[in-house]
Amino acid sequence: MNNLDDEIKFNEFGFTYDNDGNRGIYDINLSIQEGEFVVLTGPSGCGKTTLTRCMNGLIPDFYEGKIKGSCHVCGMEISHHETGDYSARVGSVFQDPRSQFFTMHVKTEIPFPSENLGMPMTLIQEQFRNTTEQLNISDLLEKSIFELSSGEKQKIAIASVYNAEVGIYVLDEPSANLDEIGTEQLRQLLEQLKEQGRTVIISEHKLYYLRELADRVVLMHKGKIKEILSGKDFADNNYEWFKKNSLRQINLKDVTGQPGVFGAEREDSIRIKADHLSFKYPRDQLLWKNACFESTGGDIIGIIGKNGVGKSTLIRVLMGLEKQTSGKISMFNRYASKQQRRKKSFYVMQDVDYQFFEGSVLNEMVSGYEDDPKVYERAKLILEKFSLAAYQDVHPSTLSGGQKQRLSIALSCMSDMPFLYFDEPTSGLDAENMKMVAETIKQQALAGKIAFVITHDYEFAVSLFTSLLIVKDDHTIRQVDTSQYAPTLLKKIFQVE
Amino acid sequence: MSFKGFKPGVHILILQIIITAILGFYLNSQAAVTGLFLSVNFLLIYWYGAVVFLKRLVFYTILNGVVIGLTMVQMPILSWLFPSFIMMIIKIYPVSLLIKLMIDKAPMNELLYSLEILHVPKSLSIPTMVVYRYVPTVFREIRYINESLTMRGLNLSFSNLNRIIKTLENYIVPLLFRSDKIAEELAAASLCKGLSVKRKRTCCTDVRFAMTDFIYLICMILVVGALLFLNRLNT
Repeated sequence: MNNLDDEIKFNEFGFTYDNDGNRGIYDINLSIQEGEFVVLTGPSGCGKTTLTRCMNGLIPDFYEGKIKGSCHVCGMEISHHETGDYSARVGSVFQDPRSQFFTMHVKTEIPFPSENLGMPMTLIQEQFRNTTEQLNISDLLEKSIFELSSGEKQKIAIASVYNAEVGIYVLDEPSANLDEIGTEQLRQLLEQLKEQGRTVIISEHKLYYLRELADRVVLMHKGKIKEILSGKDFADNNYEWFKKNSLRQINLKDVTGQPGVFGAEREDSIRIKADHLSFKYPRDQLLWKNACFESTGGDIIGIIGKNGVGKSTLIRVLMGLEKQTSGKISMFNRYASKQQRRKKSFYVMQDVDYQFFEGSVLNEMVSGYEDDPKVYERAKLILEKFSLAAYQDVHPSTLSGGQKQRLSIALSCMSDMPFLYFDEPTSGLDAENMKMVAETIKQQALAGKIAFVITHDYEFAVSLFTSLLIVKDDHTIRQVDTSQYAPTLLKKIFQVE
Repeated sequence: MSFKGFKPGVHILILQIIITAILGFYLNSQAAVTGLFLSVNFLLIYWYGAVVFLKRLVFYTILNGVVIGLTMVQMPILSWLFPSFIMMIIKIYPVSLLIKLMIDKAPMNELLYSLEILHVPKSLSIPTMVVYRYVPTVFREIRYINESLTMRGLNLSFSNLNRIIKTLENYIVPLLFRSDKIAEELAAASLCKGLSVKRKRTCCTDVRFAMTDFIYLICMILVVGALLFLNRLNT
């Protein structure tokens, strides 16, 4: 392959989507050489995803719209070619692992692109052996996609395009659903691709894991390229610079929280207590046992632990979706059954799309409370407080990720539930939205509620938590209460140092 | 690392499904219908084990028992409607078991390749595969939606029976929105991975007609012959 073929070149390029004229990219001038590692970053809606879609040929074949200027990928002008024409050269990895696998098993997914391209059987088999060996994934081969952790899923997504021997890798927010271990696995894999001289283009919010890898960073804002920096210059910028550009921090060591942001007055009547709680799925191994902890209103409890130790199950038990195997949970100093817990708890899922059922934001707020004559006024007041009032008539699914999270929390205010549960509320959010979600949760705690938060987002955690529950590998749960908690503890847990 | 294909070959499995479907409706003697079920269920021990075999056997017996019971004790309306409906299930049951086997066990790439060998047009086989892939995902999605509805007390339950239509809507709306999103993302990912109506696919496992396929086919013909014979004997 010669140099000229492999490069990507945008010349005075512009694109606007047919179905949404406001979204698009403008005045793009950018050329990417073979073997370069380029990071695209910027706040949500800045156009970095659109730019990746041009590089893998989804624009204009799949996402239709108006093109200005020219864009060549591997010497092919994108307006004259179909997406499929690029599959032999460009490999794509997407944000959500659930919808990027066509087959259901690791063993069939890895050769899938090669088979589509019509490579001969013996060649695919040989490549398959190389891929599993070089990417170190032989222990995953027999598994189904559903059994993999999120980090492993992204590994397989990369492996499948690696198997087709593409030269250019285009990744769109591949770390959005990954924990710190998964992100590290991804980083190692990207490092390997870089060493092999592949071209990597990655669009990301999370920047810290790309610090050593980026050759160039393209900073985007409102559909335009704001600045192109070398990887080194970019990483040398200080804390304030990242903050000013509303980016996630690249040096997590610089990020510190203020200790003891506990609700001003402790609300003692709101109280949850777990007494020798254990959980075990039938016919499965024990998740955790003898957990004892206690919390009062105003507390924001971070739930920390490796993948698969049962963090999600812990909050599911607390909120009453699952029944504990043994032990007792009391609320307001009284024993609370599963049904009683459910009535007092609000759950903000990782994927909030599952939580909206109505045609508009306002209807969503009043759903289930139609009997109350003043409900609309109350709903509008709450929306105002969450700065969502302008969106009260739009459909919930058209909101951005951060707005959806905030709407979810707003829903909890309608019913005044004192116990809130969050499962990864910031996955895929940019710095700005992350801060807003953190502020909203803090406000709720200040109002005397208790929030349980599962997260693997260090920046988010450090500014938020007031105490911790650590789920350990030996099936025990340790509480670090407010008096012992300091944000510096998180540095060690998230392996920032 | 082995690259052996699924045995029997997926195209033979498809053939078997078609034959079983035809037999299910052609056979009219009780003995032959039961025989068809028994032969399929017996075959599936290999993949699912004896416990599942027994469970299905019990289920089948109960179905038959209900039909016999309802025809013996004449109940108004029930004896009219139910037996024919259950007979329908009894006839479809063996095919549905084989289809389930294919969904559970047959690798998708071989299935796609087999359909190509059988000259099924790509514009038909690719959408079929997407549906086939989407079935397990739908169940997952419904479970998540049910959880979130349960937390808000809007789920399907006795206390919500008086607003059943609204409750069902609560399930369908997010399901449709999620499906739309997944469909779009899946289509984009497949296109990027080179899935195309125009290009000819290959398969990384060896799906050529082998000795085991041949033996399997012979056994199948023998069983079909026996069932037809049984059918004629009893009518």
